[in-house]
Amino acid sequence: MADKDIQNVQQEVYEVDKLNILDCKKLKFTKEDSGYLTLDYDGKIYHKVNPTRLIPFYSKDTYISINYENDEKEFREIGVIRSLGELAEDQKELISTYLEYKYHMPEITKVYSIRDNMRGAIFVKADTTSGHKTICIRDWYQNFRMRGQNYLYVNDADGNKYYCQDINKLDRKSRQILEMYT
Amino acid sequence: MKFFDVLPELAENELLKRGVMTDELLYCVKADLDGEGCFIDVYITFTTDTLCVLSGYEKYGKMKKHQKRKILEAFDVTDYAEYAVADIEEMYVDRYTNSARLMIKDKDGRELPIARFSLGFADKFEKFSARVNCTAKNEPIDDSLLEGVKTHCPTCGEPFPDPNRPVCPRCVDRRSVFKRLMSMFKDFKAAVLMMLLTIVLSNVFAIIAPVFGAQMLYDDVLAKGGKFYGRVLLVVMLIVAVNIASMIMKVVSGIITSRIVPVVTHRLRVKIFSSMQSLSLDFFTSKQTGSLMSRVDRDSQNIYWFFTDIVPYGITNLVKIIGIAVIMLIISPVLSLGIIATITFIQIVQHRFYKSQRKLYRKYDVAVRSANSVLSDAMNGQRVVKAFAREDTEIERYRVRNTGAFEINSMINGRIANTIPVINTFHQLVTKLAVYLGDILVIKARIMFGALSALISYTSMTAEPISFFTWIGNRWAKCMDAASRMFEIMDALPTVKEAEKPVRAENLKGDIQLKNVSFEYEAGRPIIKDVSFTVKSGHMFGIVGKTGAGKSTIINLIARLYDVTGGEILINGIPIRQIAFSDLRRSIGIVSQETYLFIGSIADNIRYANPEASMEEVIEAAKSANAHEFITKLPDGYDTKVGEGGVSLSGGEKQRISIARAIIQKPDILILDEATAAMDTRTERKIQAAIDNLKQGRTIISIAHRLSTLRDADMLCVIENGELKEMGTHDELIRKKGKYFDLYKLQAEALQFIQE
Repeated sequence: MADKDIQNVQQEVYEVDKLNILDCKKLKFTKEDSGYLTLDYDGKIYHKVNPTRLIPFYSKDTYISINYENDEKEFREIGVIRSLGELAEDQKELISTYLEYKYHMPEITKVYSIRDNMRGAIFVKADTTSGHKTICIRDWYQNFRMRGQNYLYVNDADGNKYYCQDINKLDRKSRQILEMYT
Repeated sequence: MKFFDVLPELAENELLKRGVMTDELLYCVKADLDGEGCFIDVYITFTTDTLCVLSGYEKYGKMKKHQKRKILEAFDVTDYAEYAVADIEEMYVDRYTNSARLMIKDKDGRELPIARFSLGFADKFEKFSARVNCTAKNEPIDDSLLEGVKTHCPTCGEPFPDPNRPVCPRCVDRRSVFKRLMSMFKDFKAAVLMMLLTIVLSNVFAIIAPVFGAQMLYDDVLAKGGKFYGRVLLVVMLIVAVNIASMIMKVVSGIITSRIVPVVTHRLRVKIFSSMQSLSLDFFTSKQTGSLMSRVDRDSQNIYWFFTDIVPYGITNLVKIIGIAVIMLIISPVLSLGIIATITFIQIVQHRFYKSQRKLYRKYDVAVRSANSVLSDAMNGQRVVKAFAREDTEIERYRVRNTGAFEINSMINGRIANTIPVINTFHQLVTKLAVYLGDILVIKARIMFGALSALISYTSMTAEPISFFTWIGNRWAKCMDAASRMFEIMDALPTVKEAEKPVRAENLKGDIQLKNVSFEYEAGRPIIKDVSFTVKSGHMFGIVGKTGAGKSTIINLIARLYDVTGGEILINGIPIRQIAFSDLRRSIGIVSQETYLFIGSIADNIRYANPEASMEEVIEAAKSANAHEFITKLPDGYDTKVGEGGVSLSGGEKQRISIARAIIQKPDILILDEATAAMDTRTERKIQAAIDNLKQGRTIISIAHRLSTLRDADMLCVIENGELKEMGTHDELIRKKGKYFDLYKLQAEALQFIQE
């Protein structure tokens, strides 16, 4: 028994982790009432699997890691889906909805005003896809910034995140208000 | 109901309507998202029997002037749900990337989401869940850790964004910061009064100079029939006297300012540094204070400006502008009003220009910071840049960022070049127009020539104070911003506080007991979970586990660098929260993975824990730590300068100095956190022998990856994911064939592999 133990341990340590691209035809996700996902992959059942975007900013539908936590709360990755487009339509819909829920981030659609309290905090009155909100941003140099030329990324004082995919597509007034801060 | 969010009366009424005994409610939290991720107001609260979830939309009335709090006018309920507390097996928080769900698991194992909220609120929801779970299991609830923690702004009632910093960004009062800053002058009352007096007088003299130099000279001395016709010497003497008086006052005020200001800023800096020193470790490791040093430096520079620029020049210009306006109006009210109106108009135009220019300055600031960050990034990572031959990439990266800054700078300068000459020319034209109108009035004998001449002098004198007030807004805001940040540091309270009446303990040689210790750096992410063990006095206790298992955290808790969030730690039977800091820290010596040598000699660094130690003791400690040999080989021996700008030592050498530092402290409890990890096996053996010597009459807690380091430990424990998995002696754990056995076999295999 001891030999077997040692062998197992050795395998765990010496086996080099490799990227495992999943065969999308063998994947069957189901959503539980609790909202968790169960995966049947090649006949093996995984509970509470956790699809994760590996490139959350620049490509939301490609390279999706499918992982879970084992009983010891250790991270285990089943593999990576190269593109959600490879999944069957219903499965794609299920995973996309789950990812949208998991990465819930309201998109800023209009900016009414930005007030600077001259103490490093700004208050952005804006419309978002989740509703109207005055977003309070501390240390705005850090938390209200552009990623690339067009993508605005906002991290508010409560720890919520907002974004604007392309600030150049906003209305003229919003752009003028944003100009000073971006 | 004291915690966590306030249940508004309107929501409480809605609960009452649904038969909830609101006076029996225990805790309440507010969630902010619905299932679709849209903003909503959800109150979750419970009695000992029922958990209530009330969803709806709050409607606030418009805030009136001087009103600090929003008034809730209506609460439109959209949904209401109830759950029996007795049926709840467990309530927990399910975290996603940006939001989280409040989940309940019933007795049948079914899991159900009951609310969704922004991730930033996870901390209070974790605490809320723990209280629901205790209530469901009829366990007592301990709120002692919540007491005294300020969570909501007393002015607007909104929660503080950062629970560790009771600062509300919505309600900062810049005037109070100004008052507080001015109070720094209170120790120099006499000098400040003198400074104010001299500033006022120097300006009064400066203002009245044109009265003698122009009006009196032309109208009373040179004009036939003037009051002092022909008495040129008198007027010249008066002009000279006024100018000398003004200059003397200016010099005196300058001397006083130059004496007080450095003292005040020096005191402020020292005060801030000492305030920072009394703060707990978490303040320095938190993300917000990453650039603490550069911020303190920049901020104190801004405050220096406040005292050297804003205060003296503010008073100067205020006196000047009022004085000039009064004198001008006395000389010729009609012409003066015209001139003042025109100047005001020009200044408004100029103010608008600078306001729009400020946007560009801000953009420039961002661009420069961005370029600088690339610069420091590349400089710090030179080794990697060179190793991968990426110099060209780095040059390009810097060029792109720098071009951004350059373009904005060009734009700023272009605008200045286009606009300022136009404004200046307009100003000139207006002055000429005033001269023209004045000449007509002189010809028509409406005013005297001297009066006109004085008016023209005053017109040019207004430019300076008006332009000062145009600029001051921005600088004022910057100073207040800097000052409030400094005060924030000074007002911050240490999270690890010494007991009000601390227990003095001469020595702490007794057992160390951990009783159900739990700890989390970040709320809701426990690092240590319910760990209990006893370290016998005089024993060597080994802690084993994978990286990130929580081993170092346990020793941080024993040394009280952090306070436990659950359970307690006792030394000698005394809870460590009661022990005086000086006794606790004196009795515990830590040698950690991260060594730090201060600027100074090697001897100073060894002596750090005990400045009174003799040179012999220093050498003795260095010998024990196996550091003596390499120190002797250094040209400057124990006087070798180390730290920033000094001789650079290898990781192992630094480590040995820090071991010597711990040895000289002669602590009752010595903690070794991977202390010998950076050393070769031979050196490690030597240090092990030194540590063995130290064991006499001392408790040692040692953390090590290499199990060989712990071969002499009297007791070992295995920590995994913050939990205590196994405990026993080496032999017992090997026999048990558990986690320790696995680790041991693994290392033995590796060793065998090397031998083969």
